[in-house]
Amino acid sequence: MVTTEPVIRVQGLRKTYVHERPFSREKFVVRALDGIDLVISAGSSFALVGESGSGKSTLALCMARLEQPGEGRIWFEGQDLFRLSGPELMRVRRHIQLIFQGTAAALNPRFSAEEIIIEPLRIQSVGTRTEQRDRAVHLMEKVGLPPVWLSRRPHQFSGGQRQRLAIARALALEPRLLILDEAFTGLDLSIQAQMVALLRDLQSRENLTYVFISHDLSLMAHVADEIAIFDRGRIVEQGQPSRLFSNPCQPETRALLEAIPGRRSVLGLGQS
Amino acid sequence: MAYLLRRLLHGALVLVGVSVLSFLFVQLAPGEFFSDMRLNPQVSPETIRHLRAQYGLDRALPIRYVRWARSVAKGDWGYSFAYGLPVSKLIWSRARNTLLLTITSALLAWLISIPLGIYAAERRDRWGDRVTVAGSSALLTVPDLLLALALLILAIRTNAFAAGGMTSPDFAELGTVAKIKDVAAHFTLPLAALVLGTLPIFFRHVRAGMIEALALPSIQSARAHGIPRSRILFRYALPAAANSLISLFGFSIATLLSASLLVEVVMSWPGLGPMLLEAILARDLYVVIGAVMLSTFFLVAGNLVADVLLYLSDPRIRRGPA
Amino acid sequence: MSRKRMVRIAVVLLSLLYGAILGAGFLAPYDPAEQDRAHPFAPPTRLHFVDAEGSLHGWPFIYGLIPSPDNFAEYQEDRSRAFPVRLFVSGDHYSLLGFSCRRHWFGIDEPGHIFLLGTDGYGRDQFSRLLWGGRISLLAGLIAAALSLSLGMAVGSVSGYFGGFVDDTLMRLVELFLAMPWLYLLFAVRAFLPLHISPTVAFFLLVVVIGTVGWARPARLIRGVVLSARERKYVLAARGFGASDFYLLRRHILPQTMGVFLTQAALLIPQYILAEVTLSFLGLGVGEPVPSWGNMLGSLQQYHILASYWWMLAPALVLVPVFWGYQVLADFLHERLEFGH
Repeated sequence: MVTTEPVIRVQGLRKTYVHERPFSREKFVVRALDGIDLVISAGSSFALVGESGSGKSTLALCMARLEQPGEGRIWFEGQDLFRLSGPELMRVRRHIQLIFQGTAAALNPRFSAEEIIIEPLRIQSVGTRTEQRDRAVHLMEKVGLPPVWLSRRPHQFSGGQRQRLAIARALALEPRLLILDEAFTGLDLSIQAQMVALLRDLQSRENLTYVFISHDLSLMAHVADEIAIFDRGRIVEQGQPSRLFSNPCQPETRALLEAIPGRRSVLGLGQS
Repeated sequence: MAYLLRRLLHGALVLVGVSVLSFLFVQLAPGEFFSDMRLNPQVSPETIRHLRAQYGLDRALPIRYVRWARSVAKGDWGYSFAYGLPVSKLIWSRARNTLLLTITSALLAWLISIPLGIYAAERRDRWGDRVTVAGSSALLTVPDLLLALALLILAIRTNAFAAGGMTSPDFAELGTVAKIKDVAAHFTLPLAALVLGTLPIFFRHVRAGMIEALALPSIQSARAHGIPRSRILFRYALPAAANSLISLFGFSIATLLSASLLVEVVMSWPGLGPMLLEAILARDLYVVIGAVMLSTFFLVAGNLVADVLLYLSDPRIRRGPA
Repeated sequence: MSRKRMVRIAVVLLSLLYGAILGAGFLAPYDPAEQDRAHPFAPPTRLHFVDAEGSLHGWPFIYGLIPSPDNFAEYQEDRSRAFPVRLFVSGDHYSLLGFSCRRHWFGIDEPGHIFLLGTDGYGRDQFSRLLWGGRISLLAGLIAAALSLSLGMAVGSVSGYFGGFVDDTLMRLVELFLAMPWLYLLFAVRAFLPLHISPTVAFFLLVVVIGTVGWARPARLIRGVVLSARERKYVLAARGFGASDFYLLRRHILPQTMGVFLTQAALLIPQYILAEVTLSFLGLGVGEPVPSWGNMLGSLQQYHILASYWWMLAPALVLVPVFWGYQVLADFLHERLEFGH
């Protein structure tokens, strides 16, 4: 079953937001998602690339079932995400994890690292208290953080370390799908490289599927094996990185390519 | 304009809501005016039944409310059991006295606290500010009750002010000028209690508002341009702080009304307060409701005045929605 | 004086006051209801160190009181009879933590009397009544504030968290309560309660009435905090792990309201103490013979008592340190917990 079903199948997804300006009767409608169709197969690394503010994060939230689309459906391993019973949804939540854009805000500043990492376990009632603690130690090691830091609070970590902490938390429930929303934004290059190495390493060991959401085409060419170009609520072009770089069909893709400084060297990277 | 209409409607709704709430609370009372009569052997149960029927107390609660509302529409505001008069007849002179007291003290408190607040904000953290802030904090720690009692003691000891009531016993025989003088003498004490009680609260708000206004970039740059200090304070900073002060004005009415209730009782000022207390002790339901409604009305009216001022001073609201 | 030191003094002062009312039975020399008909309106007893012969004593003593034969409530010291102040004397019964005790902090041998703050019209010791009365008044403030805050917390968090129709309805109700002048409101609610009730029932009714009147402001403030807290990313993240609404409120959202909660407590408690004092002062609260600061002040509505016997003002004077302490605390909490880091 699992092998034949794609991890994620999206069909006809639409979502609009209506903004009301304060002190004004004017309303304007933002089409965050305007008919999205997608198939992501198990074990792959899929990247969704588009300008910031183009509605990518909404898609991420819908896939993690944190947002209801206006229309359309999403299947996770064949199950319709929006037609699950309470217990079924609870089980599916273990398998899908989202790493938020701006990690610092996604970690409660009052919690210690340990509380942060074991929070999913507590919510899902996995294991006893001591088992959860052992798991936290193990997860810290897995993402390359010293377990003695478990008692620290988020503000005592650097940006890159916080990102590792968020990944450790996301891995706590042993998910099958990891959605990373702008996971590398704001990190400097050497840390980005470390993160990429860590994610590759994890993928080989844990049988993970990644969905990256990013505005950075060159970086995505480096980490993903399938890229979809996203523009104003739609996917305008999709393909393997090498194909997109050598033969972009759509003006939006070309615009994104031209935004990359020193494109030639990146091209080489993408094809390697 | 639509904004003001909406505020007016909101005020009316609040009044209706308060009337239902207070009606509900007061009517749920286990005792009523006529229950004390039952103990009186000279009043037959027949008479009591008759009286209750006459005042409609034998009807269901919604019917009583409708009857009461009708009487409000007629301008009677229900009937006082104790006086056998329409509540409105009893309440108006009392309300006038309460208003006289609260409005005068509000004006006086504002007249003192605005210049004082501006002064303190201007010399922030210098000793002039420290002294006024310390003084206001000290005044803030004195509860209204103690303030009223202490002022009364002062009045009785020094005999400088007339203590208690609104007029002297020989009031009726006095000439017009002497009458005004007499009321003014009685007026001083409750006025002082109210002003001293509310002054520190107003002062703190004015000071905070002015400090915020003075920190605005536009005013900082006006300073840098060498515009004279007084001009900056009164032409630039005060208007900038006006909005928060105006909304405070509405809020201050609530504080004043509550403080006034206590001061009136302690100093026997013939306002709404003593009447309300008397009516509660006598279970004179409609008088209680009338007093609560009237005080709420003052409050709503005060907030409306604040809204109108806000509307006039802030163009953003005029351009606003709906 | 530095800010920190002021806060420390305020905390110490308040703990001393609360400690004193908790230990009222031990600290008070007399039973609060005990009347001494021979000594109405006796002035505060003077402590002496120098006796009639002019020699200095290392330990304070007092003289007996002789009522003046001509005038009511006038007294002279009887220099012929001195009574040393004794510590840990045996006296009236009181119960402490369920134990019956009769040991008092200090006292005077019969037939002497020590009235540190004078007596009232029934010859009851004001100092003892002040301590016992503080139990009623300070406790009423605490319990009523707890009630208001829990109501405000419940309404505010439901309103802020669930939003929508529930929020609209509750916030209209809040506006209604905020629109009424609170003392009038208190009176109106008090009006629907029976007038003649036992002091215990009166106390609880009073607390409930005061507590229910004041829930609106904390509710609105807590709603504001919850409203912004529920939009945090980590709340969304926890929802992604399958967290229930109850979990989110308990673990992530309500802890953030702590600052507002504490500040409001420091603001409400003194207000509610004053509310009890005011209502009892006007005869609508806790009644005789149980002392409360409010009903102790009640007799001051008679001007001649107010003018002649200044020590009767003591219960109003102790409100000043209480108010000061809470004011310092509230300012501090407001700055530290709501805005600071």
